[in-house]
Amino acid sequence: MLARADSPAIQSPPAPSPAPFPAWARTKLTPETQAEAAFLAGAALARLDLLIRENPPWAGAFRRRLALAAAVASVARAGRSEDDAVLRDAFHLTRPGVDPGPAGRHLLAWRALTSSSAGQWRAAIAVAAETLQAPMDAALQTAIDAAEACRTGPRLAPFAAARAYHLARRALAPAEGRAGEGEGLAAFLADAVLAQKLGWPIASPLLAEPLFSQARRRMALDVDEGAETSRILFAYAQAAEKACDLAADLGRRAQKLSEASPKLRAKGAAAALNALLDDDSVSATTKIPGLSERGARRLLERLVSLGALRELTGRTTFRLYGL
Amino acid sequence: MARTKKPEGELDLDLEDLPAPARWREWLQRVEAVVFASAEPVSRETLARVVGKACKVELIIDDIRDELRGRPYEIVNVAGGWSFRTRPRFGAAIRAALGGPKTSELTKANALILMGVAYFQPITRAELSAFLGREVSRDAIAALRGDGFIAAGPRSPTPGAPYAYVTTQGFLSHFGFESLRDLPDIEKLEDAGLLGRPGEGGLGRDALATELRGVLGLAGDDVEEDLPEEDAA
Repeated sequence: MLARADSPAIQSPPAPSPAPFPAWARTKLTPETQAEAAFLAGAALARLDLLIRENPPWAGAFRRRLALAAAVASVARAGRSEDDAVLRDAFHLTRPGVDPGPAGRHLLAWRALTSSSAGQWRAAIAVAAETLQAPMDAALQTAIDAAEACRTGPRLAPFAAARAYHLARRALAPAEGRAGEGEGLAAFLADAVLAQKLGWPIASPLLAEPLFSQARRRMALDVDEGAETSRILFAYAQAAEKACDLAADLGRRAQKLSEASPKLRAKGAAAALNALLDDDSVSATTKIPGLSERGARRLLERLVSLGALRELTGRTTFRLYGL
Repeated sequence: MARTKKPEGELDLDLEDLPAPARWREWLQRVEAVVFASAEPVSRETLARVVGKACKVELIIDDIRDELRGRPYEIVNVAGGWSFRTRPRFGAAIRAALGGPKTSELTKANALILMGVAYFQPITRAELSAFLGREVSRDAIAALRGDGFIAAGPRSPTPGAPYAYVTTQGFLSHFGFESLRDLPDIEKLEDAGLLGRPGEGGLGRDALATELRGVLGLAGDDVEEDLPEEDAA
């Protein structure tokens, strides 16, 4: 039977599956010198850069999932124990404009980085600071100015990001009541600087996850900049490697989804598939043009039964679906 | 973020014609007047509208704080802004003269509920009841919402999709906290891994409730005596 005219057509034929991440660039051991860290970071970022420039249809889901990982890391850094499932719930079960609670706010903040083009980073950091209830004060202004200087300065991308983190972290440290947010905002600025240095259209949250899991407790402020730079370079190497693996995984899942799409006959199916490719997770109540809530639920369940989509919560109600 | 807000004409912000000390004095008095006149804490952005671009609001606040040394009130940083507050040690005198605060006094039971929300937000009424080992009535929640201390946050993915409650800016302002990290002993809870809720498992609820009472310095029987009878109804 022929596919109906309005059945979703996933844009281009899927790109040939990308070559696997080179084994020699994997971060197995902590590097001993800054040069080693820089080499690993360069290799991994070059690989990730290729991927991002291809701008695959699932790039939205990719960035949102990175934002979720960064939020989980910064929530843990703030001394809380919410995991990704709780954060997803907080996001999907809160009406827009309502406070999702202290942990949910971290997710909203990181999503702000991925919601606008990389050039809009000043607006994004303002949104993130407001979301985290960190006042837009002189300390934050200093941090933003430092990031701006790193962005326009002559340093190479990961070094500029490391410098931005270093300066922002120190600018934000002394303020009271900020212990958890200062580091998160500094990582946010570093990612914004990196994205612009590399010419990415939209920033990807990378630094927070590996950096915050390296040491459980807060990093001392008196470490010398060289050691911190090495650590950040290595964190970027780890982050880019993980991001490439995530991308390979998402690519496969998006492929499965597109293979299942001809079997869908609902009217808003194309819009639903786009929503799935564009976000970390989708619930039946997510507004999808052309689909009622009931229609969306049926469509999403059908995709799950076809094995083309995952249900992420394991619950029978309030289900969330994603690649 | 560039401060583009520049009122047209009427208020001279930069005060170029004044010598530096007089200019500083004028800025300081403007800031003090604005904070004095406002019922709510005044944010940095608001204050930046009455001073020149070159002026650091934080330094002005420091100067005001210095000037108020020895006065019975002070300027404090609460809920992301600045506000005048009488110093705590005059509380008894003020109560003796004016009576208690006009808003409904928090009962001890409601205070415990409020603390439960503050530490474990977002949290539903059922979860609060389990933590505190006591039925938390709808009336108690309504009273706290009426006082503006808590608000409905995300819905909980449990049958009936009850609201989970979060504290408001009003809560921070009323109790003089700048942010939630200023809650007493929050570090202790962090170290014990008690903040936030992992998806499943974790500590038993009884352990959590005991821990919460311990941290807040509330003995169990003390609380029970004070619970209103509405629970029985």
